[in-house]
Amino acid sequence: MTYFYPNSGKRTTLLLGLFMLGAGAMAQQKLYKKSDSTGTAGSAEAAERLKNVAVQARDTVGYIPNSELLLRSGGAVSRLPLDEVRKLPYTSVNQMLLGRVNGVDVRIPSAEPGKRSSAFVRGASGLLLKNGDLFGAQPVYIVDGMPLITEHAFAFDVQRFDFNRMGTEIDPLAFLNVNDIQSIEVLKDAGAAAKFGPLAANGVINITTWGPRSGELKVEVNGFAGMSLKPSVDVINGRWERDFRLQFYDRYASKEQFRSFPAYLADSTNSTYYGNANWDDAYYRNGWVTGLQAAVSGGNRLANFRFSVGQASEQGVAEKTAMRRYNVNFGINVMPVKNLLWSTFISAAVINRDRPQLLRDRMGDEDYILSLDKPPSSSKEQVEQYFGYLEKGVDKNRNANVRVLNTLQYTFGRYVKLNSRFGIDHGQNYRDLFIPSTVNDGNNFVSNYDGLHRRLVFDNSLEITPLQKKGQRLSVTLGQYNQWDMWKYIHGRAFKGKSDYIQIYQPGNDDNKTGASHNLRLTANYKDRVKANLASFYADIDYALHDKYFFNLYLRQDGSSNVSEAERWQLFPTASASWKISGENFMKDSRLFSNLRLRASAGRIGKLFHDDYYKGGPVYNVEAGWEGTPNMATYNAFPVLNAAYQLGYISPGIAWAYTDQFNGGLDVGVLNGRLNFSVDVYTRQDKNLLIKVPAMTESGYTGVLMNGMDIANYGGELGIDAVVVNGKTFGWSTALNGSANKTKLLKLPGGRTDVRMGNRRFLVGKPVDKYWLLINDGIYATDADVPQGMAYQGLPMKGGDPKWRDVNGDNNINDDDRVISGTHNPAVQGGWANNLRYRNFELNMLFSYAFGGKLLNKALADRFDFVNHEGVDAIEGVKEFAYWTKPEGDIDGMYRYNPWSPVRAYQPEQTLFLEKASYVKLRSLSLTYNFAGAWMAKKGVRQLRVFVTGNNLFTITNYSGGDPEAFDYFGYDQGVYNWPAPKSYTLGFNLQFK
Amino acid sequence: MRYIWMGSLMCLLATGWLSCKKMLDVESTRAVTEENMWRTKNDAWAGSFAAYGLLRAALANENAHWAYGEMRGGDFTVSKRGDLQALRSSQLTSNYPAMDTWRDWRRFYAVIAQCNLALAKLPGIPDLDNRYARSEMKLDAAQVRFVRAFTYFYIVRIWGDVPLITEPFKGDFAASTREDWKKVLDFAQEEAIAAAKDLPWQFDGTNPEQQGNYRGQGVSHWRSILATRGACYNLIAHIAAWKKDYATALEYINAITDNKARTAYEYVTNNDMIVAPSGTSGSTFRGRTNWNIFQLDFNIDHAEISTTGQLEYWTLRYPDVPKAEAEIYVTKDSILNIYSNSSDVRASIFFTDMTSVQPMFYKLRMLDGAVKNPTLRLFNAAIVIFRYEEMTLLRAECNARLKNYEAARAELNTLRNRRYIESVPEDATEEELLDLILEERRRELIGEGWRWYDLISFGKVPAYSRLTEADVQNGAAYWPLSKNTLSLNPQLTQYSYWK
Repeated sequence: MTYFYPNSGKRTTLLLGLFMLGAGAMAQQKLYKKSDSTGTAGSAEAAERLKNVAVQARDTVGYIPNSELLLRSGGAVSRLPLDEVRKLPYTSVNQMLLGRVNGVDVRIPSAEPGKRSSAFVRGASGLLLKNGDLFGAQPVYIVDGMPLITEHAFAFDVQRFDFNRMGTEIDPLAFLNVNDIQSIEVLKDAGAAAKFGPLAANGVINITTWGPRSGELKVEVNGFAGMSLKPSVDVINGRWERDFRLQFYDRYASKEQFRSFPAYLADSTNSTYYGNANWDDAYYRNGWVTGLQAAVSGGNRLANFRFSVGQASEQGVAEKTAMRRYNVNFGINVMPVKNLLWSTFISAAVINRDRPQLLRDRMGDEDYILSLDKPPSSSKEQVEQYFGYLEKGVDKNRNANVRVLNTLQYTFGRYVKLNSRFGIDHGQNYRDLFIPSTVNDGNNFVSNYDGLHRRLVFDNSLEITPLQKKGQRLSVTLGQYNQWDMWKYIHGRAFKGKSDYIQIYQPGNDDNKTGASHNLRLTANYKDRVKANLASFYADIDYALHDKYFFNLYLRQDGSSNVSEAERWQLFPTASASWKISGENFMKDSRLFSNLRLRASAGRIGKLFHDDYYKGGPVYNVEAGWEGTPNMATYNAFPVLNAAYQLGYISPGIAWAYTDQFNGGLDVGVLNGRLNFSVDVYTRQDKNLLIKVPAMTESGYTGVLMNGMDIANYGGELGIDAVVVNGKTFGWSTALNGSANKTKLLKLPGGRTDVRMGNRRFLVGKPVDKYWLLINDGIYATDADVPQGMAYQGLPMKGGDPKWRDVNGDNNINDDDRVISGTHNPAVQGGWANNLRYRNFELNMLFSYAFGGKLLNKALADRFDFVNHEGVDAIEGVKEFAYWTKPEGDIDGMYRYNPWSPVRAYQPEQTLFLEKASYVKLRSLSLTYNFAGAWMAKKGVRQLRVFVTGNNLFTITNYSGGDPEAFDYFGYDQGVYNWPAPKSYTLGFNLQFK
Repeated sequence: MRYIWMGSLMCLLATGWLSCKKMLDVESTRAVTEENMWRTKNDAWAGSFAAYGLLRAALANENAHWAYGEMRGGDFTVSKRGDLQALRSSQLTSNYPAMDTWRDWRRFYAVIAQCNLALAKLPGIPDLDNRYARSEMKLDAAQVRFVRAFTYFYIVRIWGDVPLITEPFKGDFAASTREDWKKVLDFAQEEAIAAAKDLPWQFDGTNPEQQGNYRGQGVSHWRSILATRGACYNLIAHIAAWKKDYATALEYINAITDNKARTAYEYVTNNDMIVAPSGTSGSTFRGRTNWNIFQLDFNIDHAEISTTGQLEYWTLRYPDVPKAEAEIYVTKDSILNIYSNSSDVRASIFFTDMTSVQPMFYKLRMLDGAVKNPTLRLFNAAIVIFRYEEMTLLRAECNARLKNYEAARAELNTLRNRRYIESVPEDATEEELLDLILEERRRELIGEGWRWYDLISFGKVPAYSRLTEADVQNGAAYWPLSKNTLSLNPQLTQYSYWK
């Protein structure tokens, strides 16, 4: 089949786009001068033209659409109350969403400032087993119509440990300054999201920034400063740990095991571990948070602009972490000729991040296990010394991002409009690391990482509005969309540089073994690149009758370069309708209902694959490495290339995966809009998903990659807001939202009903987000208590072993006795906001809550499993300074099993460590004073308000393992690696001049 | 003015609307597709050497070579690691991540699958790329054939009956059953015989099978690293001996020694050369010597070095590496027991720090100068599969079993005398002689992954482990199949001991 679609040449588009931008900027400048910025047209010609321009809604918004199509909203949409959020010290969009919008589950596993986090709209759309899986489950973030490109998971391929992705791990959503944002909406169903195409398969976070506006010149300044508070922790030293372990030694240890009691705990005169446990004094701190932003905007309707600059910084409370951001935005709208609207947005931002210096993460970065004989000390001096040494090294993490968006709209007479949109999102991700030999077993380490990602979009559409009368409106939009994505990185690392003063890495070559900065054999260099293109055609048919009946049909034909050729093109339709019942005659007189609207949508959206090697059947790869040495690429200096046994056998003819979404909603407004309800119920079925099903081990392959897995997410959302009191001096409004989501595995490929992967099991008909656990029924106190023949995977059980429930009754405890139980995803979650107003004062508070979630306290399990974490020459044996914190959890309530038993009595995957983790949290509290009075007008002040805020002030929870929100993406509480969000207080102001 | 705007706009839109699918045809930069593989000489080189690479990976993964061949024999004592303790006491169903890995044979079948694939694809390449001569293809295919035969021999010793897969995999995941190990070994033996025909004695360009420089490198680059006819014969001898066909085994060993001029194989010239550290030419575990018949190579010059996968990861400690305690060590009592003869030079050179509670096993300590002072734990000891001394001990065993006691004693005494211990008594019975050979193998080959297989082939498992003869009959000397393997292929069954 031959398809005709525009511009296959990315280069041509890019050149033309840049040409247009350049020419545009010059022309815009000229025009802008001509039309004057004071509101009155500067030239006679402009004044004449202005007369003919109809005032449109967007003039008040101050924003020229990227495409009219994207401005129309319908379907299930949650909006973020931004006015309140603007006061709070948030640096990332995900932080703003947390607990404030319905249907979004935000996961911030660690409060490291500026670090990548995750959001899931209406549940995760696939199986989440490792960090790399998260990248494909995120919603798309759209800024002014430009879908942002995010990081790619491919760097994990050459990494041995699944902790941090190579590079900076900076949150790409931290680029936006909240004061530049006009609105944030979450588009949840196909009716709302489908027009963003396959990128929208996991939902859309639609962000609109303050664009240029017409009117008088307006200047605004916003700022805040505050402090995150040092946490108080229950510190311990070696004595506590020794006493803790001795109870096991006394009961179970053999002579040999006693002999291998760790040396650092055995000597109670050693002040390194038995001294004053004051490490926290140097490890934690009070951290500053600040932000400052200024913007100026104005112009007339022929030409207007907005310019803003902003800065924000946040210091973490632990590990001397911090982030700093600088951003600039510039937008200009002009109408160079009649009927042509033209706008250009340019934004740039830089984020620097000071990362934590956790040993585990460092060993991951180096791909090398340092000596674990002596864990970090519990004394303050050692912490100071450690960070002092590190200061002589380098750990620069910087992301830079530039976005350019150029849109044109031309109106032909009354019925036809042409939209053209061209955008670039370009990001760089740069890390420079040097670890001095003083903290690295005497061998220094250097690495650098330079990553680049870039997205180009080109969207053209023709909008025809043939019917615009008698209460009817029909519009038909036909368009095409092209998108070019590219990710690449270069990474190099080297050990044993000549001295700690030479902190650079200069890759050498074979001819230059001695001239390079490092011995060539102790270096490694990696390079990777992915390109993915998308081409689409769409038709959007919109019909409204009497402002009561609304129908929309959206048809989209998508072609993706990551799908095999035969299956490349597929049609994805979406239909939605709504009925405004309150507009009907029989409701006209209703005093009760001010608004009553019924909505429904059904649609199918394609899902993009993130990897580029699924399209041509089985592949070959370099997999000559092994556990602990994953990147071996040669044999006797000759490169090897093998069938991709590790990656998996890729079935030929991989086709599109897609998501089928159904949504029904009801919006109710009563009592003149003082009380509003909104209810949505939905199912989302992600179908034909790619899954790597385990292959028979005799094939040599770890698995077969094939289409055919179906996963459902279904649930409902409820939002209520009410103005309870609305007096002149006193007012109270309140808003409650709640959402519930459940998952279910509908189908596996090839009629399979059961797949086991890692420490999870997936059964058709069961949820996909649950743990797979052994059930604890106590302890076999002595050998005599063990029932006759009871075994663990064939090993006879003994006294001191856990009494695990023999679910299938075969007297042998193994994986068949594990049950699928408990999930970290709460059954219901949401937030409750209150706004109290008294004269010029305002008090806002937000409680967020989650009920029904459970967590596995892995930190506690590892503590009890000290036998397998001590003296092992592997990543499991790593301890941090924060090890000297009393472990959180029900220590006394745990069974005292024999930790040396080969049944691995304290494996984390058992119900012993599963705990309920419901919570209610006072996420934010703010007190605002709004200035008013005649003096303001005199001084030219339009608005002035000052506020104080408090964040994360308290949490009520039944979870004993610490903050119930601090856990990794897979439901494991990793203790010192999951930092809870700190308490913080800030003071800020918003000031606007006329 | 207006026309300029209109013109540009139209221009922008008109750049496209060209018929083409170019935009969506993006070649993967991350993996090579089937249609781009097996077309050129470079593909042939990379695809055939992948067999060696994957075999090395299978043996190095979680130190599998020693997990299967050494630890269960009990000569090494474990300091702390629970998984190694369970391994040492043959609790092979215990619940540790490493144990799961050892139970799994997937990596070995990846080697076999790669060999099957390469053998099917290599013959087609000379027609596609005339730089790749048919003679070179034959040589590469013969090496791949050797690797496949060796891998089958290797896994038969570990799991006993194993599925026999000889054809490349074509996406049809047909369930296979465990084949009688004797049949698997018959296949391996035939294959090795077939491979030997196309293999040179050395890659020195003087054999009809291999002329000039192989892949542009001289003999020193390849010595004892590639499959040679000698390595093949040595493999056949081992396969035959495992089948108790000692006559055939002896025949092939004699074929090696009869060609001494072409193989250049010899005893380690100097006892210190067994343990000589990295950087010493002629060191056994650096390899590329005349005393190694076949080794899986590690080499710092090629950056083929690693922290894991070599025995040093488990045996070295302070002061050689920054670690207070080694994972495994041989106790002083065991050393005195194994090396009961005080003049035995090996007791002093294979071990160090004898005065401490945990002496350090010092036979393998391949830390190059570039990773020392202070130590960066990247080891480069080759995994030595066959070496000359081992071969002579196998010959002694074959002779003893074939009742050529005289020859067996002579063979044994040559080695014993080289290690400074006295000759064996001339009146030793066959049983005594076999015991002496087993002891000698233990002393000479400690830490090289032979001990457990020796105990099996000499029928001494019950004597040296907690397993009884009945256990061994029930499959206890072999490894259990992994949970994964069993659950994915219902045709496979566990040996009764592991059920």
